Amino acid sequence: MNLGSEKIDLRPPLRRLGEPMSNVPDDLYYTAEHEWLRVEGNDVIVGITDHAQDALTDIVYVELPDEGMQVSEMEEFATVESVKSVSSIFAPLTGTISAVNLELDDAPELINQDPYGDGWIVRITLNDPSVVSNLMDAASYIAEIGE
Amino acid sequence: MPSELVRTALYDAHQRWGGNIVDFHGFELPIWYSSMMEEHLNTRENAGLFDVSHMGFFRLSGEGVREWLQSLATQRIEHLTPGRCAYTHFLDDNGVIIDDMIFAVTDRQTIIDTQCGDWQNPSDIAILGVPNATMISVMSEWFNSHLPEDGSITLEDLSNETSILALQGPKSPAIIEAVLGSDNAIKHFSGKAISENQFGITGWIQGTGYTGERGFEIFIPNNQAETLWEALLSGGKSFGISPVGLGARDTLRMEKGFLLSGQDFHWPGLEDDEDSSVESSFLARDSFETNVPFGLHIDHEFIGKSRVQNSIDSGVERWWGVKYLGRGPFPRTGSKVLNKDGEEIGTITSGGPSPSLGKVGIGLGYISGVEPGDEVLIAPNPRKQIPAVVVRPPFV
Repeated sequence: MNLGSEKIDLRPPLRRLGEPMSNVPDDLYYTAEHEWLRVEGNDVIVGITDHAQDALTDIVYVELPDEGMQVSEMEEFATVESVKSVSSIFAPLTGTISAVNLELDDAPELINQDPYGDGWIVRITLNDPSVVSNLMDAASYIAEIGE
Repeated sequence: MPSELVRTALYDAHQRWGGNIVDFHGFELPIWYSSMMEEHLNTRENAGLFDVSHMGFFRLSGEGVREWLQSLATQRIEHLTPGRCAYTHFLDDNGVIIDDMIFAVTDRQTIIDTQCGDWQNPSDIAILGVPNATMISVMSEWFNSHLPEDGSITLEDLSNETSILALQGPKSPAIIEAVLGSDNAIKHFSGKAISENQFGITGWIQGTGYTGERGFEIFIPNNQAETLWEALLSGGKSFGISPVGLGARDTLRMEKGFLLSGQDFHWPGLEDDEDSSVESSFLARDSFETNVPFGLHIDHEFIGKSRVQNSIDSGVERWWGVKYLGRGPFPRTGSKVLNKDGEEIGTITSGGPSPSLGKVGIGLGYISGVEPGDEVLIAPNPRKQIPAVVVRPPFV
């Protein structure tokens, strides 16, 4: 995803005094677009990171893709909106959307509350599961976000 | 951050209060503290405190200053007595809005009592005005180029030495009473020199704001800003006050249908904002087109009037509100407005979820040939078209 904005510059904010670091679980893969991937067989579960949800603040709408949609690496397939921003979610890898978290329709705030759990966005069945290992691990992502 | 960014006198206070600082048109200001939603709702319910020191502060003085300013303003001024505030637009020679402004008419003793800097041109009547942050130098040049040749009117730009705090929300009067005394809890759209108080705060206070709530804007020397900020947050604690960032300030004004300079109108003499998704030529508007009735008094002579009169006579496209009837991605700046046949009839200039209305999508924009109650479609992205109803703001 991009931490984009409408009018106001919503760069990842300066870390507030006394605030804990972002949660970056060891068992996930990450992208520079602040998405995480959990591998389950030939599938990956995809969501946005704790760092991203914190920077976006209150998430108020998620535009979800249809199940069965084919996606190519870096293709925009969903958007996440906060009060002041619209951010694109890009397919981290090529595959087919095999499940969508429809609970986000009524409760987009699940992404804020539990970004690595109930706030998951889609499941993608990968065309080539071997490419997952090219993505960042937790240590690389922590370096990427400068924490 | 690059060094050219300006920090207000409250920068350290924003850090202490957990503000998320961003570059806002060259000023380092907090976009939110706890959450935009919470800050918005708390301002409507209780009270919010805003640092709006990026905005400017002008003092216009001299014999005949009301009549002179009225010749440049869409608002009538000559009848306003000292202590009254009003809203106006200033148009260029072509009738395009340069900036909008809240101003106050005041008198000689009041200006002396504000203790705001040396006063170059003491006069019976003076006017205090609040230009938008990015328009301070433009408006200063515009006024200066129209001053009478006899030197009777003087413009003093007090922006750099002045901090501006806005206290907004239904509990604001009670908080002002508790912190600065009941003398300073001035009425809506009135203003006065700040009277003596326990914190030694001096300057100007007026019953105005940008949230549509009862509230105050307080103009004080920079070296008093921290004292007043802490005093209001501390004295307002039992009233539920919270500091509010610029994010909620924007949603609060959007719900009331207040124009944002540079976004809902844009003076063509300025460079294009490269982030803007709406062309500045589309945003070059006159007062009638903005549909904001309280800033326009057509029955007096003012610069740019002929375009406004033409707009009134021809019924051009107007600025309206739209409210979603369905769910979907929110209206945003640049979203197209379509009629039921799918024809493009307008463009959204400001939009998003309305925190006070359960996050329903609302937008403001220029739309042709519609009236309140008409149904239109909003295209927030190429994939979606969301039904919406045209309304005359405010939304809440």
